[in-house]
Amino acid sequence: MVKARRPTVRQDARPAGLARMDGYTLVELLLSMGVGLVLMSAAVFVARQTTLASNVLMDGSSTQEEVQYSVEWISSALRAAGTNPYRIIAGACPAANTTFTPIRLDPNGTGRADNIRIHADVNPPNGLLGGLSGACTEPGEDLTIAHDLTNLCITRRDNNIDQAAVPMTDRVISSMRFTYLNAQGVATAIAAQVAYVQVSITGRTIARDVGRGAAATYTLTSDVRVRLR
Amino acid sequence: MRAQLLRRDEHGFALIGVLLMLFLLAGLVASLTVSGQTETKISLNYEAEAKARAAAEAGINHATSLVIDKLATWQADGYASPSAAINALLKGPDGLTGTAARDADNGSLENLGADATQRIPRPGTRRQLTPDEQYEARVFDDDDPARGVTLSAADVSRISEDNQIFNDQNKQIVIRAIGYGPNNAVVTLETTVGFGVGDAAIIVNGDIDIQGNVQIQGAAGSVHANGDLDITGSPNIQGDATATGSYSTSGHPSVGGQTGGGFAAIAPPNVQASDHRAEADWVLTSAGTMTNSAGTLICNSASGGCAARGWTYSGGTWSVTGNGIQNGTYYVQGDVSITGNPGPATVSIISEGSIDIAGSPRFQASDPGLFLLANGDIEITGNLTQTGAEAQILVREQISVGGNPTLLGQIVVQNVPSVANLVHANRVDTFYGSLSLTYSGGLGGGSGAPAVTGWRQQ
Repeated sequence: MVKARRPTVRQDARPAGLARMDGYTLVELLLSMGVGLVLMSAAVFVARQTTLASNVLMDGSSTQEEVQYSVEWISSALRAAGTNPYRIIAGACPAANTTFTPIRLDPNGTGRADNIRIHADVNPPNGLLGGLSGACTEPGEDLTIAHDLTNLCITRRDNNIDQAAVPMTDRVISSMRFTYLNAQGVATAIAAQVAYVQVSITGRTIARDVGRGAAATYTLTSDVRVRLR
Repeated sequence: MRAQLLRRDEHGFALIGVLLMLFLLAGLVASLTVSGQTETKISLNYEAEAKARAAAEAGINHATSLVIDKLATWQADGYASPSAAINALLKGPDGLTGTAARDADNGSLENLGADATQRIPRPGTRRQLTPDEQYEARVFDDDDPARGVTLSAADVSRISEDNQIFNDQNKQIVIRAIGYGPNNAVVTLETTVGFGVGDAAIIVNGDIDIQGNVQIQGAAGSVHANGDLDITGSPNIQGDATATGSYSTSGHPSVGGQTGGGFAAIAPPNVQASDHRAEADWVLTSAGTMTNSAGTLICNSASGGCAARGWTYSGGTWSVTGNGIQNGTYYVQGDVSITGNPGPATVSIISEGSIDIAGSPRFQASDPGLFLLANGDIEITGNLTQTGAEAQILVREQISVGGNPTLLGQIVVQNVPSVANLVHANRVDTFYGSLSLTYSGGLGGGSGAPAVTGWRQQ
């Protein structure tokens, strides 16, 4: 007589399929959850830091571009200052008897050297500064370039065309300064001796630098030769 | 069965997590890569634009220098006027226009400059600076639409032009240079060179002191100092009183036009007696003889033979002490002293030395447009009266004018460092007393020397 194999209690108690479901103890579960949490936290932290660093880089790059672009167009305007091939003494634009003045520092009367006015008979060169009386339509011949301290931007106003100053940059410009230099490159307060105008612009990032905890700043300085001096 | 499903769900968790992380990291990397590429392209564009600008600057400086040098010698080159010299440049080396072949060299500077290897090729051909930097340059009349400026009929009239692109009317010429950089970067610059600047009664390449009751009148009755201008007393200046340096006044001067410092400098002409040697009727030599323009001996002062013509010679100085002087333009190889009251006479004096006038002569210029010229100093302290057409007084060193002279024309002082001792050596040119100077404008081609009057980027 064949003796039937007696099943174990365990085998007898649970179906084969369910027998594979157990195996994690409470300790194992807690441990795996803890490790998982740590790994997830690390991953999230790394991702967050990477994103922040990327944003700071992008922000810094954008700020530098704003500063560089500003120096470029301001330099271009300064180079033409004083162009007056047909000897304009005074013009009718934007107001009667506007004296042709190649460069004037602080035309806005702020007491700061962060605004400048430029006259040039360039567009077209025709012996008129800005146009005829009542038709002041020649752009780029009477410009005021200024730093807007409130909005942290650089503004450009064509005194013959624009009703108000036009923001030319994002709100990232923390300072701008114009300095007169003589032919030897030495700072001077005498307008007559100006051979170069030094433009110094500082941009400040919107995002904070993670490492320093403060916004990064970038300053670009350029000495622009005033062509007709 | 349900348990089996649960088990399959658990198996995908890690893969999904890893994939999510990979997607996140891939996104970041892609973002940084795109940003980096954009930055690189921006930098390359800046570099290309900077190279094109540098090439254009090189071109405009080169071309402007050549044009100024050429126009400065318009008289010596035999042109009747500055405009005639400009017209020659506009038509190019062949001097012709009207057909494609003739027009090919219009505005070309290809023949200017002493060094043939450094010349600017004709328009349409670029001068190579580096493998990726070139420029081309040419000239235009300022009312030529081809320069890229649209002027209305009123504009053309205002700038004294005539819409004839090979016929200059206002003594101004436009130079255009196009700079080429990599990646098709192009920068176009333009200068205007003209004779019309600084057509003032007194132009000094240095400091000026005006004192007393000096009267400067006329349509061009202005004063300009490339240095400082100091006015004291009660001078009356009908036009502008301007300085490139500082401007100061005291007393009660009257100035009808613009005043102040900081104005653009006016390039002075190069005053050189020998440039005007051919204009002389008579030559007073350093040997004490007078010859005519052909070199034929007229008289010898050693034997007193020149006294009849009003001149004596001693110690390097030719003098007029009496009341008579022979008409004509004199070229003097030495100093000149006039202490008598000669005239009325038609006389111009060109001196390799200095000219000292202390008497009361009454002259009108013999040489059209030129009254007095000195390589050294000029001092006028008497009652010199100039009549007739307006003419220039040109001084290489310094000038001092006082007393009660009446002058007609323009005084231009180059103000080179002092060698002659007639006028003070501190290089301040002085006008005092009751000088009366009247100038309507237009002498010396408008201002004597061509200069850059405008600059712009198109």
